[in-house]
Amino acid sequence: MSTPNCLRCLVRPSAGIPVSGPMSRTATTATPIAALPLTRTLTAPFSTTAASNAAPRRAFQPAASTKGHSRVGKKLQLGKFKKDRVAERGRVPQPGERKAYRKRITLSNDNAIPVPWLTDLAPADMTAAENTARVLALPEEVQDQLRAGEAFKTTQCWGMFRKPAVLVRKETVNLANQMQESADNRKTLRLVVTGDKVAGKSMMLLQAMAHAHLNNWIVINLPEAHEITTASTEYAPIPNTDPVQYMQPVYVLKLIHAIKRANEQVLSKTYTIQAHPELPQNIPSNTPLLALANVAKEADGAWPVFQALWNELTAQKANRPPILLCLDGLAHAMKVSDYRSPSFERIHSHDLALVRLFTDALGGGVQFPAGGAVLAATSRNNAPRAPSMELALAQREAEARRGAGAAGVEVPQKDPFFRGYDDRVEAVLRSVRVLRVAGVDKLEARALMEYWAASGMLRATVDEKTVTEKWTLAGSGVLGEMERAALLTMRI
Amino acid sequence: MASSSRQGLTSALRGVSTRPNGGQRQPLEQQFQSLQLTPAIVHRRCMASQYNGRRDNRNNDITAAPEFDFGSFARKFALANYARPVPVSPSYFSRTPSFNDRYLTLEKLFRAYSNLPLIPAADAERIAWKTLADLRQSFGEPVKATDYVKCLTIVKRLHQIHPELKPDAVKSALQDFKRDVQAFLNVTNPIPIDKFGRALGVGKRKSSIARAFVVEGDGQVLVNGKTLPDYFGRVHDRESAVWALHSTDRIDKYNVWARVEGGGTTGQAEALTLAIAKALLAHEPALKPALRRAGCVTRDPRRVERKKHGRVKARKGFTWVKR
Amino acid sequence: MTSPAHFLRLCLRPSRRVPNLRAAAIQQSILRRPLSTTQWRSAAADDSANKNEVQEEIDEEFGNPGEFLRKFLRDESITEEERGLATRMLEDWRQVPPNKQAQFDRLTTEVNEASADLRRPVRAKRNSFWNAEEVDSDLITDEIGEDDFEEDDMMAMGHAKLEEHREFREYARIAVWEMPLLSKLAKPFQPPTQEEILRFRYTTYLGEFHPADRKVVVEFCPTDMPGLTAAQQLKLKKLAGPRYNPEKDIIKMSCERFEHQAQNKRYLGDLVDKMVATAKDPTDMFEDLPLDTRHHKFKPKLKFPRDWYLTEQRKTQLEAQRKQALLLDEEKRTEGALIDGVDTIQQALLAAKVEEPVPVLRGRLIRGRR
Repeated sequence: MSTPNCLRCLVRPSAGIPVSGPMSRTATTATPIAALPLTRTLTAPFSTTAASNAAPRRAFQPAASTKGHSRVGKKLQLGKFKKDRVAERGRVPQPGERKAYRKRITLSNDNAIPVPWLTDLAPADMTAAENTARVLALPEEVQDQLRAGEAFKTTQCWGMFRKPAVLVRKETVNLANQMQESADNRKTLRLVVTGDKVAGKSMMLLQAMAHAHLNNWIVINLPEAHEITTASTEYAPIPNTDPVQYMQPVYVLKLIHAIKRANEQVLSKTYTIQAHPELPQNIPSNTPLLALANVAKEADGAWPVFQALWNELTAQKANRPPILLCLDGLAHAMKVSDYRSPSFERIHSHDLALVRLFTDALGGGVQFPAGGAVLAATSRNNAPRAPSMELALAQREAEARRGAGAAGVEVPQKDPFFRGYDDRVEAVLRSVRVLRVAGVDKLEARALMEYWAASGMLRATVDEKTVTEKWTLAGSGVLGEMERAALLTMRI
Repeated sequence: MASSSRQGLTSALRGVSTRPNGGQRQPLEQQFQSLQLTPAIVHRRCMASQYNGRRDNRNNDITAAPEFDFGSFARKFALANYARPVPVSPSYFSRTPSFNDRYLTLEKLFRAYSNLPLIPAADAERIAWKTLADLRQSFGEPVKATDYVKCLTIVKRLHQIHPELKPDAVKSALQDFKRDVQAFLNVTNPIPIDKFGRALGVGKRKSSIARAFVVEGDGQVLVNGKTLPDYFGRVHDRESAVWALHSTDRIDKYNVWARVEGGGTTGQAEALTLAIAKALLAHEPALKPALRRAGCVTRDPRRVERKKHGRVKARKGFTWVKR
Repeated sequence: MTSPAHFLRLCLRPSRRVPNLRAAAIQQSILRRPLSTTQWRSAAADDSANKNEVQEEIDEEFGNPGEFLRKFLRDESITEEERGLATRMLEDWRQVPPNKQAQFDRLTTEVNEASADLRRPVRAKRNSFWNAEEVDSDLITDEIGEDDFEEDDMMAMGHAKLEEHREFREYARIAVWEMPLLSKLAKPFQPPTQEEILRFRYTTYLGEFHPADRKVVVEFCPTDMPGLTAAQQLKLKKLAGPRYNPEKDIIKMSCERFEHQAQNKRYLGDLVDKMVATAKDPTDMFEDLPLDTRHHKFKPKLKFPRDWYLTEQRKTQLEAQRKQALLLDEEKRTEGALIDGVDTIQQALLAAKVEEPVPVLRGRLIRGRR
């Protein structure tokens, strides 16, 4: 019987849990990070050890207020009257500690075996077709950049391996080539990544971002569309807009910081072409964009800074690197949001300034000076129904197939008796490309499983039989299902 | 009550119906026959008496016995020397006369042929012998269980005699102890492989029924038009669905297209195991021992146990209440 | 002495005018044919005029035949023959001795009084528990005086049993002798011709009354309709609305609005005619309306994938795939590049034993935060 949770995750990093002696001793020796007093001074927001850093660690000491022996667990109630007993609980987690623990991203596993033949991604690796069905590691620079841009997700199994590595599949090469081509021609690639559940859509975005970082693009990533549209951050109307648009200052501030950290190198080499006197701190022309981004210190002034940054980035005839704009969970951006206008009507997502900025770019309304790409990925398990989006994607896909010469492909049409279509969504998705991510073929599955086995995570000989077995159980090579079938079962 | 009188009525009608309308009357005839005394019983009843006159009209009419014509009797047979009829069987006055007769016959045969060569019990033809209940039913006598066991030991010993040397007397004596329906003679129809290379296997588990088409391929599985992870949320279910292929290392050699209905996910997955195993056996009959070891050949007969009155569920009792 | 049968027949002939007899007759069980083809209708459906007539005649009471005959003779509308017969009978009645006449009167009143309870209409008790006191029609006897044994006959239950037995026999006779004759009436199936487009469905409950036996259902395929263009057929489908099945391409309508089957069928026939006429009408062809199929759920038909059929081509393809996979395996095996997870772990553990475990801070720190 396999446990539903990863056993590794069960070691909660809270210090004051009253555990028995030997357990605590092994725990201290097994976690080298906690053993060092150095960690106390470091508070890295994106560290793997955020949770253990949240509370200063104390040595284990028995609780001072112990009134004799106290048993853990249920007790037989023999007396008629219940005694008032203070329940023995461990240390209550600090505010935010649980969330930090839940959201933490672990990118390395010291117990995993290093894979000797694993090489780092080079800038041109993803565009080369001969790299298909190879596993390549992300360079440490790129790891940091992607981490800053929140490209890694908690649902992905990064924490099982020595260092993050990605499988280059046919779709990856296809996407990277499309991106490179559009950058070469100073055009904008507008593309939606869609596919089945756990097929690797977000991973495709991550690979695109990695490719962009490697080639010194500017990457702006909106990691989850639902963070923007489900009324979970503050919002305010933008004055002098008609129809009224809304900004989300706190979120935008976070975004600016993320952009800044992710693109530090590139932004410091890119300069403004006009002065920005309206900002809290005067920015003359020919200042590095990094300085412009640094202006945003508080949520209040964040939106104008972001707008200035965006205007600078998209200023025509300026010397700019290519830009990659990404969004995951497209369905949330293609519906009426949960925000309310002052008249208590629901605000359409496209009236939120940030989402509008993205949808304009996706719809082809923005031209990047040096070309670039606007990528969006759909989601399958956190996705509201967006009939217009589904229809539009199906239509684009059918049109593409028909354009490729497939006979008998029918472009799906609108249901004339259905009322839930959204014209604004249709307008946005009228001319995007669609990249469908499906299962991998056996060669790619084999490469991936060899990597797993070489990391000591798969206890089997990787031959045709094993590969086909996992490939079949995963429904013709759906990657997430392969992980579930092979990695996450904890069968030893 | 109505049905019984109706049955009586049909049997009464039988005597009346003389019109040539055989097709319609057939069921009535059959019903009547089922009510009738079987010739065997009739025969047993008169076995004890000395009268062995006209027993030739064995067809279904029951007619009153003809009058005794003592004159012709005296002329035809040497009348018995006894003052009254004497039973044919010495065990006539015992509790189980016909069983005792058979038992004695068997013992005699056993003694007579104990020197004949035997074959191992495993090699002998498999025969379903009558159970105790069957035996009581067919003889119409309250046979004791211990007697039955003793009798059957002899029967089985006699059955082990080498078939080429087995005397006819033994064969006929054993005939009475064989069950009417010999399940071991049933031969399952082999599953054909159609012109597209598919074999259709049917499997059941709990209340699920699965039909699986197994064709040579590269390891793809479609269940009700969906892939395995789409159809079965649990990895365990997916594994048990393709367990027959997995356990025989054939997962990369075949494609499966299946329809499943009824029951829950576990039942459907395990019904698929059986269905795929059967279809796989059609392709490769030599895999049967391997599949049996993997537990894919036998249909699991367990069903939901019915709820009983006086209980909360099938077995759970009501909570005890003081008042 | 007059013959009583003769007298009784005369009395019964104008039976409407003998309210006493009629009232008594209501209590009798109504004999029905076992397989009647016409439906039985209760008297409650009679019109009010008939009721009034009964009401007014019940007022008249006849104590003895003399009174009735005198009343009868007073009627102008009777024939001469009847008059003569009645006059003769009246003469006969007068010759009956007076004590006998008085006895007759007494008998009449006695019978009337005794049977008064029986004639009273039976109403279902309102507040009875699940009609507990209701007469059980499933019992074979009426349970009245059932247990009285007068030593001259079988008991009531025995008679009832016999009666039941007779009934069974009657049906058995029918089943054996008469039912087979029905096969003579069998007609061979004739498939409908091109002209017979409408398919009607009726319901019969074999002579019993049922509210649904008037229902008629018609089905037809719009493409079978002669003389309709494609546009007109489409309009016909749109007119049919949710009665159109797009999967089978059939319009199915029913009617149970009228009392009789024939009326319903007529209505449906007219309706189909009207629909076809409307479909042919070119003034409005409903071109702005798409065909609505929201009422129908299309069931996806699952088919075995065609690519999986084991054709020669597929065989060679599979052969090539397997060969390639085998080659790959073999190649890796000879190179020693075939990766075994367990082996890898073992080797890593062996290598780790050599090293001294030193606690090291792993992972990189974000720049600018140190």
